[in-house]
Amino acid sequence: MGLYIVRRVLAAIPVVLGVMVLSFAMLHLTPGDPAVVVAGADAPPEAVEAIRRQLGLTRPLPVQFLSYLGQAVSGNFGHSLVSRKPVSEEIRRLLGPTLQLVVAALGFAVAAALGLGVASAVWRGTLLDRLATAAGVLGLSLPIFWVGLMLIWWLAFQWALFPISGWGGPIWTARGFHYTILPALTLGATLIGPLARMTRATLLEVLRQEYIRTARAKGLAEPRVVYVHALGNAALPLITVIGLQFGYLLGGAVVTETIFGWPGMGRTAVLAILSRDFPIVQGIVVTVAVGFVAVNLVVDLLYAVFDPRIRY
Amino acid sequence: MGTLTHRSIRPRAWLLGAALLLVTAAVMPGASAQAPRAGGTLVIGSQFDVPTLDPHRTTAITVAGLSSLLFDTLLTPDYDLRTVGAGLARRWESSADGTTYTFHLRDDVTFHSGRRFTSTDVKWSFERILDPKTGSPHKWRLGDVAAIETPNETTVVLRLKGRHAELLVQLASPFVAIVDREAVEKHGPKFGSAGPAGTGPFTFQEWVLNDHMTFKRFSQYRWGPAFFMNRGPAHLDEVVFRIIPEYQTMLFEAERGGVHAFRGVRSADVERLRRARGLGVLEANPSQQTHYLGFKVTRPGVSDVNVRKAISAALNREALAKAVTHGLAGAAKGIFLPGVSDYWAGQESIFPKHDAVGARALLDAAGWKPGADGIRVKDGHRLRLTLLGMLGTVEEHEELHPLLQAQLKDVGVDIEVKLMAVPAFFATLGKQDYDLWTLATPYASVFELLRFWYSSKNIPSPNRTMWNDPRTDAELLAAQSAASAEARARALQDVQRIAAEHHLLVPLWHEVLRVPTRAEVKGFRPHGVYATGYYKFLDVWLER
Repeated sequence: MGLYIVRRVLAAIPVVLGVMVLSFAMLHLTPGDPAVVVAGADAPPEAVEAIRRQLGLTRPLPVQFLSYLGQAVSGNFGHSLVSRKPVSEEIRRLLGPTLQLVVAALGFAVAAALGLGVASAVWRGTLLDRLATAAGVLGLSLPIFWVGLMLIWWLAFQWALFPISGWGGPIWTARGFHYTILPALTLGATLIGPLARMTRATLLEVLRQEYIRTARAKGLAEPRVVYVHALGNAALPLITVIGLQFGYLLGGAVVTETIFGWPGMGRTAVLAILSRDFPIVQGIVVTVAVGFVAVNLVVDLLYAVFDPRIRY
Repeated sequence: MGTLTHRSIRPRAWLLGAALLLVTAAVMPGASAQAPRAGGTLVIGSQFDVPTLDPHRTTAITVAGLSSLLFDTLLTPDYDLRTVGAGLARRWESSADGTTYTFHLRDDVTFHSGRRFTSTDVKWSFERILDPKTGSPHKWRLGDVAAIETPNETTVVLRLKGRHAELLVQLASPFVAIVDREAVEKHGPKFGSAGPAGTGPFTFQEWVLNDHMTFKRFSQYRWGPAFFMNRGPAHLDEVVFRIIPEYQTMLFEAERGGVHAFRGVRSADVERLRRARGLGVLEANPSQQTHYLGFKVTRPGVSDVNVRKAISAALNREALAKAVTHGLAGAAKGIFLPGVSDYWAGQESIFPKHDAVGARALLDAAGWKPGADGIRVKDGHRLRLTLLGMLGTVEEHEELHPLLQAQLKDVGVDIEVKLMAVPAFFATLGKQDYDLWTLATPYASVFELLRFWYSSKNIPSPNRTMWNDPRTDAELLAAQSAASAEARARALQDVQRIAAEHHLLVPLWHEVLRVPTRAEVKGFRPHGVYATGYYKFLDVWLER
């Protein structure tokens, strides 16, 4: 297994490098000059040029990229053009809130999807099944920004049950938990549909297996048959989907964090793109890419845990 | 009984004064009869973070307001934006030839660090602005400086190579602030991101990028401008700027009290917010900023003054302004707010009234004949123009462009609208890839904008019209070196006449800076200086 992990990590290097090249190129090729953002729209060209020099942006692009790459290898992603703090320091600050949001959203989505999926499979064809399907499709079809704003309007603004926006602290504190609920619901809502459908389909297939009939024939209680014998074996494809969705959630966090004023990587990425704070955007893109690769690796390793037949 | 004696006048005058005071207190926005209460944190919402807190290195509007909290200026702009009053300088005089200004400084001022403020600090800050290495876009505000002398600790003598009629107005600009030399030297190029410090009413506490910024009351502060009731220290303990990028979320927060005030309210929401419980919409009066449509006169098509005039006449500016501001504003008659110093009212009759028939006739005469699809053609070229607009910052412009497009199509002008986020917008302007653009720029004086827009020295930015005219340059120079207010006004009025007659810009509507503000915020009056709204916050306090 150790060798397998090493192989996967090595294989991830070209992926991350590719992401770095692409993000660097895209940022520098889109119109918008960080020096103009700092100096202001009405600054004369010579003032902009002086600021550009101060920010180290006068060197040719390939030189800038090579120097960026060289520093990145040693974990130095440069400094923010605005705060002038090391990018790694800024990312460390942003990582916690984003992970908190994504994990909470995933937790909520998985719990809701398992409940709905199992209910749909067990009571297949009933009104409940159809309602669960409809709810899932609805969650998937509604855009995140709309869901977020509606939840804020309804639960936070009209009913004042939750704070409207902002960060309340880590989720294990009461305040932090309170602040996390609405953003997590918003981000998780889109996942429930596909996960519930997947759970339903996989579970239905498993429930038709011989060993389930055997379990029932043994006289096992139905909940034990479904939750222990069936769901355990249905977990494998679900884990794959959840793993893939993790990356999707990181993308969705951009919108959710922006709407909820959540101090994570998503909102910062949007604002940093607008202020052309290139090092911050690159740092975030690389962090997300590494996170995505890491989660996929963890998912692959989890297969072995859930299916003893798989060995690396 | 019939004759009023000196004695009998007194109580009446006193009563009249008291009545006037009461009326003023009742009608002044944010004014309150209650005694100010010290303490509390004022939370200001903002959709975007600032690029720096170094006022010398940026022209960003948002920085001007924050700069006024941290730093002071030699002179200060009154709410009327006409009167320049004392700041760090108690008084000042100029030589008869207008090239030497002597400023007598306060002797009771200290920096946030506790160090005493003296004339050498003024000299150092001004020299920093003038140093090309700083890259300050504000050099011109100081004029052509020959020498800065400090005969003693409380006197600064500014010697200019020529007259600079604008000097006093520009010394009141929040960008020409006195920064703490020691803080700049300590933080080097990071100053502004780290450790911005001056003599202002608030000290810098924390800046978490794209999240929030905290300022704390400077308790030694006693030298605020005379137009504030409270000269210092500030009533508020803290001011926090919270970044909330989503506009709708900002509205919810303002209505629920999560933020006390924010800038950038869209016209469409003003009426609703005025009626919202616990909220009011305060206005900066005057606000010196006008929305306009600009022509890049070096481009084919719009290089012809008749085409520009036709486009101007084809626009129903009154309807456009009413539609996009939801009835809050009508068409601007001139490119500046009527009533500002040096304004030339003659331009109002030059900017054409809506006349589609006249516009078509002008285009016909200019050789642009309607093609098969109605779009005009000349020498095989279609009259297709690129209009650059900003996306995501000025909602009114986003509503404006399709209307403007439709009105111009009606006379056979095809407009391709390119909307882009702010950095891309200015980058594309910088690349010269446009025929028309829409924008609004705040100003301290008529001279400031005329110089920005039309001085050939400012081509390509901020002179985006590319107007290159020796007479305009000469008049701008004459205005700068004018010996009298009349001579200066004459020169500036001539530039306004030239610009209007050549139809370089089309005035659309005057911006009124509106700041939705919670009812518990007292003593707040948005300041129009550089359209910031926020200025030192000395009178502001929070009701429990």
